[in-house]
Amino acid sequence: MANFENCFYAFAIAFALIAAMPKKYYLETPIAKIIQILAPLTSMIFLFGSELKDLNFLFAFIFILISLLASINSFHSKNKLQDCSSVFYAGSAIGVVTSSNWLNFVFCWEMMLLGSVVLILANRTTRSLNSGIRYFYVHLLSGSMVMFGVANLPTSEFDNVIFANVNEPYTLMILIGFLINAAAPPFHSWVPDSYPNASPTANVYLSAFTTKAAVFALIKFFPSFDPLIYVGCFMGLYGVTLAMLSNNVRKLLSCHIISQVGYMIVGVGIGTSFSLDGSSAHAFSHILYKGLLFMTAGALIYATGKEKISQMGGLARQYPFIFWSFIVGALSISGAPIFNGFISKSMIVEAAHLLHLDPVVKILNLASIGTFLSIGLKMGYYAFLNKRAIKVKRIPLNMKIAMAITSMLCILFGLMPNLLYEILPNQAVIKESIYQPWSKYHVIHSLEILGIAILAFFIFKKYLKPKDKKINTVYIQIFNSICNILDSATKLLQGTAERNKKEISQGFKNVFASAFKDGRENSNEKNNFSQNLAIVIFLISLFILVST
Amino acid sequence: MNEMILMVLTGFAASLCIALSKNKHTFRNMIFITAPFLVLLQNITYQKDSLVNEIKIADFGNGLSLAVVDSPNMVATLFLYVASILWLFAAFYTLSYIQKNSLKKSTRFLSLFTLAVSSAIGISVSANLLSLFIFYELLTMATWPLVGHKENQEAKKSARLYLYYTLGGASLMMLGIVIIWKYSGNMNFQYANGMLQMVPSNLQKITMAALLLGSSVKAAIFPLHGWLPKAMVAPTPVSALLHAVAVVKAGVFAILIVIHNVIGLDLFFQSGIYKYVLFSSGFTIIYASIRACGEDNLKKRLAYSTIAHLSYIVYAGCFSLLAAVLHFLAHALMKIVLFMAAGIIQTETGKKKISEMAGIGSMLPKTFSAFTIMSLGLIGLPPVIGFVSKFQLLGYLPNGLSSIYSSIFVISGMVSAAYLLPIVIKGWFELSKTKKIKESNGMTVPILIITLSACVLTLLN
Repeated sequence: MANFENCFYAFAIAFALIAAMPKKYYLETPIAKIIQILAPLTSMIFLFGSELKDLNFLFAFIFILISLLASINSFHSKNKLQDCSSVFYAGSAIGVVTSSNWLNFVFCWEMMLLGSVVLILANRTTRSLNSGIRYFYVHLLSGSMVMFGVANLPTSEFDNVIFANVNEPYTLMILIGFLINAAAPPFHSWVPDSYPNASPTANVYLSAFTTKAAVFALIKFFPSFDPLIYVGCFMGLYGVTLAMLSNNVRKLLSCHIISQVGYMIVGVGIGTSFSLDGSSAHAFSHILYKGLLFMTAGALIYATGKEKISQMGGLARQYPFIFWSFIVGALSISGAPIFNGFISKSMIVEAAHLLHLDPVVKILNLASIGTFLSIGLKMGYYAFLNKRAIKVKRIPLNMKIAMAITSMLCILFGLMPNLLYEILPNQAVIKESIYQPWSKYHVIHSLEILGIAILAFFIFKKYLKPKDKKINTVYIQIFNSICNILDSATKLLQGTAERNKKEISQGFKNVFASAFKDGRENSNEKNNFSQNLAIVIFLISLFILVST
Repeated sequence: MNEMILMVLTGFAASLCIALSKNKHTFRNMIFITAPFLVLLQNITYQKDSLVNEIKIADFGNGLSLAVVDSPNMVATLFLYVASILWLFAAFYTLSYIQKNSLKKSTRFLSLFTLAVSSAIGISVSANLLSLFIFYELLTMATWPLVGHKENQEAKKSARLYLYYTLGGASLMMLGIVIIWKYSGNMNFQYANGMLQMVPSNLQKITMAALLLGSSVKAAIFPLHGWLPKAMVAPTPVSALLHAVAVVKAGVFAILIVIHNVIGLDLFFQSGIYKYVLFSSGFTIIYASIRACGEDNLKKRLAYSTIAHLSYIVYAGCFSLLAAVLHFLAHALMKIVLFMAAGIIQTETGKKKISEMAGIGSMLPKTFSAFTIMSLGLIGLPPVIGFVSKFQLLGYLPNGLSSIYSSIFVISGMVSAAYLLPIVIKGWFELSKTKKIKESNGMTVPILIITLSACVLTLLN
């Protein structure tokens, strides 16, 4: 990878410049923000000049693109720490997907942890502080697992390494590390716990990088590893269920990350070249439409100052722009035709269909229904349409620009799928010609899914009304109980240690009691200490010099 | 006279000059700064004269001599470089520390400080077990008054405890050395491999036990670690250079020498004594990490962390010398910065306890940035050299043992985060109404340079 360093260095220099900028200068001029936009632009130029291809190119491209859009989206906010850490985070995520050896990979993997933790902590609220610490520990575990596995690998080869089974402990460790970062249950709770507590503009970054870097790693190292199909199916349904129960806008969206990553993991597990392409394509589309949804959520929170769906309502009239961007995002995530979710999600479902994995197809369709039900209908209806008047303020222009560009990209890739299909690693769609996204069957199928979801919404409207429910308390309880165990272990050890130490030192004292009895009483006679010492040293050195 | 001897003697001569300097403080400080420069210069320009492998300073007959080695082996070279380079930084730090804190009896302090570091350098280049022992005890004798420097009740008590522990260890070590001397005659260890095999088999176990126990006092392995947290009453430069680098690393150096050169790896595994070493150091790692979580005094918490990390080196040193040596270097760099930062915090704000440290990051941004970066390194995260050494520590698979053995570092890394992260988060993110304090350059510049070099070392790797 000849020019990998150039992609990476653009972000490194931007980070250094922003970090070194004096605070006064930062607050008064928009230079830091411009640097933040310039970094992805320059590294985009480097990317097209470099020799990167296939999977690396695809992920590096979408990561750079989303960091550009996210920095436009956060142009108005003045939080220096957040700017620094977001540049850092984006740079290290790009490092993960473009690295050419194991040490580099693990290095960037751990850097990504640092960037994302600081990005969450930069919100500077009590809740973000607590969830940031929990996030740190979960990802430290993941990082250590990956590091442990990688350090014990028998081969130093990086490209074309595929782990087909987990018989060896190091392979298992690497897999667990990746799955923690991909938010697979039972390690999924860090997503809905920490993402809602970051600042709304930081969410666009957070939703894009960590989980998708894990998907990249799974595609690269664990293709066609069968158990991943079950993991993915479970994640798909589980994430949607959590999303239906949640009331907080951003918590709802972050639960959908789990569900959508589930689709990608199913694609990895199936493992044909077509399904792997499907996973990469879905990661690509997912980053775009999830970024768009988080942008709209951020705009809503900025405008109303409220986070819960039950406190919003009737915003479509006040904000037609946010409403239409939201509709684009919601239809994309549910896989409606002409939006980019349609062209990628149907690839994975088709891949499962081709191998006659009927239960998988059914589960994925069910998850699609749930997705449209919870995002498009529940959030759309209660936040935008249901009537209620609340005080609002204007949203800044840069947010609108970012949303407009992202929505256009979503529609562009939906209408011209070959743009995406040509940069996929295997180019299976073009080469094998077994699949046409715009075939009659697929369009009707996805319209069917949307229709069922609409029907279900009007039947179960009463139950879907947003209410406050705590959905990740178990995770926090587990964390707290681990802290309590550590705490009580500390106290126990301290108690026993004090007792034992007394005994041990008493024992030593007894051994030396006779030798030091006099010394203790004369301890205040140290006035001439330095002179005495000097004489002793002088004699010793004289002795040494004479004897040579 | 050989240059290697000159290098060892430079430090002793400087110590003597400082002790005799009376009230000429400028002269004294000049010598205090020049000594590490000279040693470092000699270190860099030294060219080995490979005809002889030991150069005698004093010959006591009967195969007993005080001698230095001509070309030190890997561990010794590293120890030599770490001690002499960090001595230079610590010297600048110490002078401003003394000035800021108006430390009493500073001449005595500086003289003993120089003496202690130069005996550590003596340990690293010593050629045979007797010279190792002599320098080792010189180090004890020089450090003991430094621990009790404040001369209050607590300091005196800790100094006495320090002496009990170290002299106890010394007498055990002496026993082992005498047995080896009696049966092997030649005690040159730097290129030896298993000199214990000449000792009759009924005495071998006693010798091994005596040597290992004796050297594990300074390496603070459970249950002989009690002196280290107590010794934290000493002024910060002592805790930083001596109790994070020189003294404890001398103990670890002695253990590595005993395992690899005196006992020899073959005998070490055959006799089954490796189980005890592994178990005790592994237990120390977990024990000290958990104890560190419960300490509220910053320096004591760091001391427990030191205990844990010394056992990392010993634990890894049983199998792979490379991982041990890397962590030897990494821990020295990281821990000296953490202690120096703790000293700056105490000097500038008077705060010793972690519970008082809310908002310390905005008060002392430079210092606390260095502290943050280095605590990340201690957890094993990039971009500090601790990442590389953790990678190496996790990477060795002991022959015939399952990889569960190296997973202890994963657990310990998590617990390290549990005792270091709260300080960092409290310092940066818990806001209290504080003003920014002007940090004195003499103290912050050394730690910033060390931090930067630790980061650069990782990136170059």
